[in-house]
Amino acid sequence: MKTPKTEKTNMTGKSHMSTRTGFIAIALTFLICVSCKEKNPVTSPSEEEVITTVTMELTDSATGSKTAFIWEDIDGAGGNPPNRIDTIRIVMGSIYTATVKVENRSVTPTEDITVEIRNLLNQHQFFFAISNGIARAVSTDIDDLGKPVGLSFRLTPLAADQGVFTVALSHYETRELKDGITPSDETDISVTFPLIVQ
Amino acid sequence: MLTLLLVMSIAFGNDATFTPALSVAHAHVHGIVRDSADRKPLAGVTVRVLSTTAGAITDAKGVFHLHEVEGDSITLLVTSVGYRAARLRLALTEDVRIEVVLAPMDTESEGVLVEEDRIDALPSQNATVITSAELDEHRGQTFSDALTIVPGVTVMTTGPSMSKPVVRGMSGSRLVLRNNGLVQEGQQWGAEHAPEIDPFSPSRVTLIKGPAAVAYGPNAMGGVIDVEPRALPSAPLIHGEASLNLFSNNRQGAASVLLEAGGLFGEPLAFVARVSARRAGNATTPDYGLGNTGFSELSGSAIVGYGTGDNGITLNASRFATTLGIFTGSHLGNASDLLRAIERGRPTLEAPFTYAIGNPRQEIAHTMLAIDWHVNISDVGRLKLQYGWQQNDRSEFDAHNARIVGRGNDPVERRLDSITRLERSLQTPAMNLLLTTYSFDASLDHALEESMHGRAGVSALRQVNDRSGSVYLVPDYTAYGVGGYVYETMVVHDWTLSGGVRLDGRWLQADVRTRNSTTSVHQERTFFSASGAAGATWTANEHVELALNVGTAWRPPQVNELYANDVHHGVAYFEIGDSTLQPERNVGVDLSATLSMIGVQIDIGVYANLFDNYIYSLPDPEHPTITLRGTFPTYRMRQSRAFIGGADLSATVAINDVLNVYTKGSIVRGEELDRSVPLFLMPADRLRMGAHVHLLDVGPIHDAFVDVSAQGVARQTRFVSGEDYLEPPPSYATLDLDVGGSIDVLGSTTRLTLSVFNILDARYRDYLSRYRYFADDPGRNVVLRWHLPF
Repeated sequence: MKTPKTEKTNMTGKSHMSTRTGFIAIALTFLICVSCKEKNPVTSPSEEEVITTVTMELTDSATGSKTAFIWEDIDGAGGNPPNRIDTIRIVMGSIYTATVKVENRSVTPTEDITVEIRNLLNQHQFFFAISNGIARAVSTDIDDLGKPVGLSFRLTPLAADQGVFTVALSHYETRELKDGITPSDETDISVTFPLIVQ
Repeated sequence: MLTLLLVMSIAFGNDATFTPALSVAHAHVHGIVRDSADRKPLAGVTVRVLSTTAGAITDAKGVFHLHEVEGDSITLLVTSVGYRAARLRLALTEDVRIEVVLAPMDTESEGVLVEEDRIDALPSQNATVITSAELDEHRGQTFSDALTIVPGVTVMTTGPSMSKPVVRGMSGSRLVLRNNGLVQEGQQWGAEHAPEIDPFSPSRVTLIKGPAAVAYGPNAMGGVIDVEPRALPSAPLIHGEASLNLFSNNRQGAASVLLEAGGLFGEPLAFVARVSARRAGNATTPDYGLGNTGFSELSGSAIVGYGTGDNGITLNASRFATTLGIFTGSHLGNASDLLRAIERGRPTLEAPFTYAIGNPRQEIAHTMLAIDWHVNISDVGRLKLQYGWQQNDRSEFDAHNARIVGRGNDPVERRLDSITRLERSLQTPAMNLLLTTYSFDASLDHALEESMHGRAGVSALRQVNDRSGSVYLVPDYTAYGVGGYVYETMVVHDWTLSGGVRLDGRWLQADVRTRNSTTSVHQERTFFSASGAAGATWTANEHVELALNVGTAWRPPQVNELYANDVHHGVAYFEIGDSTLQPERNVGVDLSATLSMIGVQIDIGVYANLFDNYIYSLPDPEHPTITLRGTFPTYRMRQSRAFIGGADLSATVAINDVLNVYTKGSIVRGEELDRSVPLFLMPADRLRMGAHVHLLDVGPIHDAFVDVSAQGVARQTRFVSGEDYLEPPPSYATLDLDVGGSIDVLGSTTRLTLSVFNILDARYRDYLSRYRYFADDPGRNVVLRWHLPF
């Protein structure tokens, strides 16, 4: 192994820099840099869509009575767990027409995001899954290309039992990707309600 | 141990930095040629001055003389049967005495030129120098690509544009990256945070494996990557170089121009300046394109120096800026989306080729400014002072802002407002991090007596991070660090003994916020610890050298490990830091052996690291994070005792004058000792075998070579079943080819290299590819590299 050398050079006889010059140069650079910015210029934060609340309003088609069921995580993702998850109770023999409402209730006034979904129907679809086959949910609305949307659906009880009802909103990068059957890889909403059929 | 295959040192002004001087018209060049293995002088070696008729042959003592050589700089070609030819460019000042060391035929030494053995670490440390010529031949799409020619180095990739080096199973904050003498304080928080270095800029890279904290500071637990740009010219000359690299896979074009000058205005003043640009489109796997994986880069640097080797000052400024597309298929809503993507096995979107970069994307700029001053003080030693300032500006743009609620009373007005807001939102980063670092370093090289020398130094650092946006993986913080160290090396007969210690303190003040709080919580942590190393190198005889190194290093927990609290979209999990984490420490033992005989060169490294408080993240299945977007697995930072050990091997055998065969391989084993399970993301075992044909002159082509090699990567069979979404991918093999040579055109030497990676267009997924869940690794890539000095 060679050892590092501190060999003297003997090339030029002229202009050997003085020690003071070296110190001054370092000090000057230091001063220049100390005044550099280390904070981001104040910009408005990126506006991000925040969804806190999913409401399902069920209308008993026989009686016309309406009931709203809410899934809510008011402080957003992480932090505290969801603050409200209602149990959906439906009765055998009735058929329910239902609507989904999506809101951001963490701001005042609250924002109704359903409107924005309605503006881009052919890039959105709600998927419904009910465990144990105790009920069936079918979309009753379509986009301009005839694909289901699911902002409105019909809920039919099939067996008196308990289970869960999962509502998921798929967001599609392009309208071509929405085939009406396949969920996307970009799930915007996926909430699960306990479901009791009496 | 330093793997130096060919060493040339210029007796006058062999200082590591530069020594500009005045011009001399006719120079006398003389020197000695030695064998790299046994240092014996070589007789009968031809030394030719290219583009002239001048030449000489070494005598029985290996000495040659070239009289009355003209010009500012010359190129020497040194050739001898059974040895690798050396091509070296000399700046002519006054009479020049050089030492040329020729390596026996082997692939590594191809055109290698190392100016001097100057590793800022203990000599017993396992270190490999990647020379300018090797870098030229293996320069890839990213800085890290060229490092993988060293056994034991792999890369962790997030698509073709982002690759992070992994040295012996360690990466990120367990490695130190030094760029032109300044430790690069980039953002090492995530796997997608790659080193911010222009792939064209390194002229020499020293890779140190094993704990090297004494000289490089805390974090150098797994090793050091020391990058040096082109040294300042020491002679009066003006010279330039142009490089062009083309890559077929993503239709990438990259160009770089370098200009250097010395002896300006008759003063010892010199500069080197470089500008590089790069543009790449979507990468393609054998079967499909990867949407939004293009990137573009623009970088520049300038180094100005004044003075001599005795007393000189250099100013160094550089800026690297890049825009990187993030593969659209990796942007997922929740864990079920990831499972669906895995099951499908390929991206949904058939991505046509484009250079356009959409959201999600990253925009990163790294700016460095450093001033160095060195002075030789008689009877004391060599003093070096360095002041550095650097700023890393990272913006990450999300794609999850698809619907923005418009404001206004009228529906049409609301609709228009929502479109305006959406567009603005896509141009506003979801997260911006501005990391500013000020550093000051002072060191004194000293020789205590004839056979003993060393270095003592102090360093100080201030770092400020300013976070903005809606992602809370890294908090705002201010950190201070101070350190002091000393290391000495002593030569006793066949032994070189060395040892050193270092003390460091770190103070961290962070203001931690989460998504669901509007106020931040002030957190303070103090860390104070020591590092140390000791080693011995034994030159058994002219063929065998052994080195043993024992070192211990530590690193304070990173801010993201302490305070992260957000979702990682690409891998669909919630990461939660632990503010009580303790510093991580390792003790590493490293044994390296070099066997060199005429025609045979074998390097073996065996190592073992024992960690205390190894920091890693583990899923917490009891507490998944339930959000409106669905359920995410929760990962929490943990600490455990751990072990990382393994072996690296490289061997070259010269079959005859023109052909040699080589192999290199590495194995790494990692174990989390508290649970007795394998560590996550350890590189799989790999082996490369190849043949290299080197012809000195084929017609007008010099240094022509053909290299064919195949690399096999085993499946990682050591993993905890069920802990990851997907088991490690199967083993794979790739076949690669390199062909190249130089031609003298108009007094300069143009070099052309053609490389084909993955000739057979094999489908594969590497275990360390972050896209392995959703897509194959990129397929065949034809690379053309052209280098023209002017």
